[in-house]
Amino acid sequence: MIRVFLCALFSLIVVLGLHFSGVVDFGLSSPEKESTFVPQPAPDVVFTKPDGTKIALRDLKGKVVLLNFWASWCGPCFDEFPSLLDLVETFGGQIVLIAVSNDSDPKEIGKFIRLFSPKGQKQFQNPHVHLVWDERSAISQKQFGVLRFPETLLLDSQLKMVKKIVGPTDWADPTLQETIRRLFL
Amino acid sequence: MKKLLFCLVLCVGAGAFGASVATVPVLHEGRIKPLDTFARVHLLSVYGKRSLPEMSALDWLVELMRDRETAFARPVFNLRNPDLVGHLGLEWREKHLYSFNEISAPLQKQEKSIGLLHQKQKEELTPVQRQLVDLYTASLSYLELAQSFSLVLPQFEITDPALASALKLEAGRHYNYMEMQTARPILENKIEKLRNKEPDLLNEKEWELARLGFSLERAAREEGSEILRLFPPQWHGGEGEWLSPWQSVRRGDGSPATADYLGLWRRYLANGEDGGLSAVALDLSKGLVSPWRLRWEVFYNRVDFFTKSLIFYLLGFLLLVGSWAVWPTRLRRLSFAAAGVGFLAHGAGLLMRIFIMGRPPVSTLYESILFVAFIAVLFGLILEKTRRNGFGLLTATTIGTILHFIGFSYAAEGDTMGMLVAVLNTNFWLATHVVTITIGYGCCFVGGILGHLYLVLRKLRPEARQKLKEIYRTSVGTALVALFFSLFGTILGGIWADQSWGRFWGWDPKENGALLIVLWLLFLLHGVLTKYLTQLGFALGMVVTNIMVALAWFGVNLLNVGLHSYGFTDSILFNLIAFCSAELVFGVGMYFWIRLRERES
Repeated sequence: MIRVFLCALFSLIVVLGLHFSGVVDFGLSSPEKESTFVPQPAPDVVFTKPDGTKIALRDLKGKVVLLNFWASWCGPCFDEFPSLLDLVETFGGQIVLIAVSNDSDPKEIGKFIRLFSPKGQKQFQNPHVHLVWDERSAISQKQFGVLRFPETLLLDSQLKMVKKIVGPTDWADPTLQETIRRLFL
Repeated sequence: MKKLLFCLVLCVGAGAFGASVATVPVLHEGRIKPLDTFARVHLLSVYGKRSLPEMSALDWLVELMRDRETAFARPVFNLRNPDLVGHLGLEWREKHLYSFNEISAPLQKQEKSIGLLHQKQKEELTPVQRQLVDLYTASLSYLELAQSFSLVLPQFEITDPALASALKLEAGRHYNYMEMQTARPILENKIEKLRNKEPDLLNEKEWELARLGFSLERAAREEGSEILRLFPPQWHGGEGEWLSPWQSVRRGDGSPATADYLGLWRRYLANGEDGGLSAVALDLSKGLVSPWRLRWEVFYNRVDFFTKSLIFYLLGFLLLVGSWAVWPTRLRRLSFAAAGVGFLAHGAGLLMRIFIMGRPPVSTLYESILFVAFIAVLFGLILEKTRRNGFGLLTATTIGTILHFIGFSYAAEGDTMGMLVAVLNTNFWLATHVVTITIGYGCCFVGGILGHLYLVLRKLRPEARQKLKEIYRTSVGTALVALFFSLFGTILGGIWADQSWGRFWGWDPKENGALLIVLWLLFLLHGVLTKYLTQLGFALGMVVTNIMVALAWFGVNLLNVGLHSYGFTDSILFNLIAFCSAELVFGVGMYFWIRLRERES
């Protein structure tokens, strides 16, 4: 009995010794990386425009989508919008912008648009720009985990979330535009 | 019977290894650990133990995050110094326990002076000052823990329907901080209009408005809570940083996955329902940590192998002592069985640590104590099995018990599975040099105990020549084994030092200590071979070996010099001096006492 036990103990010591010495890998340790990122599909949500019409995210499959979360009382959001609208115009129908308002009242969206220049107001009419209202931030917070504004999610043509940009951004930046261009391939 | 036992083990194992909130991963002190360990470590820092009598550490943590009022009133701060208690203006209690509510006010009053103390070196502070600073730090961590999930706790209620309507909210319903964000601009706008109004002139509705605004502002200040890092990096370029709930939303690192996770936490804190929380947590951290490691660690925490092994070693020792009085054979067998069970529990604990940490269990001082005890007990049990004279059993149970107690004092310092310094983080050398050296230490201790045994037996029963000879021969054999491992380990250490630090030997205190043990054992064995040393002299020499090992193992860590100073500790000086003095007095005293008595007779 003692011999069996000692043999078993000796074997265990040899196995562990070989493993930890790096001579043999028995796969006891799983590779643990510092950071891992795999684009995940965006939640299947349906947005509501101020006029009550609906737009489902799944209907935009095949296009690159910019999901921009904002609010009318957010100063940096106001600063960011012109370059965002210019970006959508530049890429024609390849990019769709869904600007998700987190205001408490949908009327604030109309007031917000009127603060822009005529050119800006016209850009909001672009058929590839959708201003939607997220009542009580139900979708922004509970579906996307967004609390601060502006935040923008970049979705590829399969509606996978490939990048998140936090804070106001200059969308004319060549590096950013290159990142977006690669999503068309 | 065997089938029943097997089924029982299977059921326990399945239950023990299942996912639960305890297995939720959290990043703390550079390591991803289960929430169970995180809770235990934090409770240990304030209460001094890893669980409360009335609840587990995890339940305590959940209560702290969910119900601050109750948690702050629960006496968990263990203050054992009457001077510290007096300094805080609190009444002295027999149980030494105080609540956060009781200590926070006096600590806040002394915030400035504590800040000044914090800037000084620890050596410049008196014990009371040191404990005051530690208590203040612990109370800040306590508060920060309580604030971890305040962003999802339903703490805001609007009773006035008109106000609720103006804020586009429902009256009578409770909202959390996140849900209040849409109403915040309107609220701030309304409060702005009240700024110029005298407080005495505010009506009830305006008071509610002001209170709401104040509560929201106070809640916003809690966004500094960073201690509970539950959210793994979500987006590319996260640099491996895990974030707390508040950090995640503040930095914009939120994602659909974290939103879902936060929602589950909200539900769990509200009504205690797991709702798949643990499964989502493990899924969120896929590729970053192995779920099995988390489960094993929770199991390891719950079973507490080393307390179990200590109990059995102690039982074995008591049974052995009992066998000297009555039923020698029966009690000695039971003692062997108890020590055997203790050894299995001990080994299981070490094995679990290997699986959890993915490295040999000799990386920290705490682990080396446990491993040395394991080797010493193994050696003792083998000796007992071969000699069957009780000496091996005495050695095993004594060393096992003593080293466990020493180990527990290190375990009380916090997480015993901490991160390693870079030089130690090489598994090959951990598996070879450190393991070999600690096996050598273990064998030295076995020989040391045998030396004690020889001296005591020679004093009490000098006529038992056969038994004395047996002990002597066993201790010589033990010294040979100890020499082999110590020498081999020292040479391997030199090779490792050459690879890590560019030199084979640097007269580092740790290296000198290891060399001292080797030279001492060589001296003793040469003394035996040349018959320069008598049996009595050799026994004294083995007792002195204990002192050598203690100095080489613990003593050099007090110096905090040299490349081996990662094990620096300043807390064991008195105990080390006491141990070495006691051993020296015992060894030398017994030697001369025996010589005197034998000369007289």
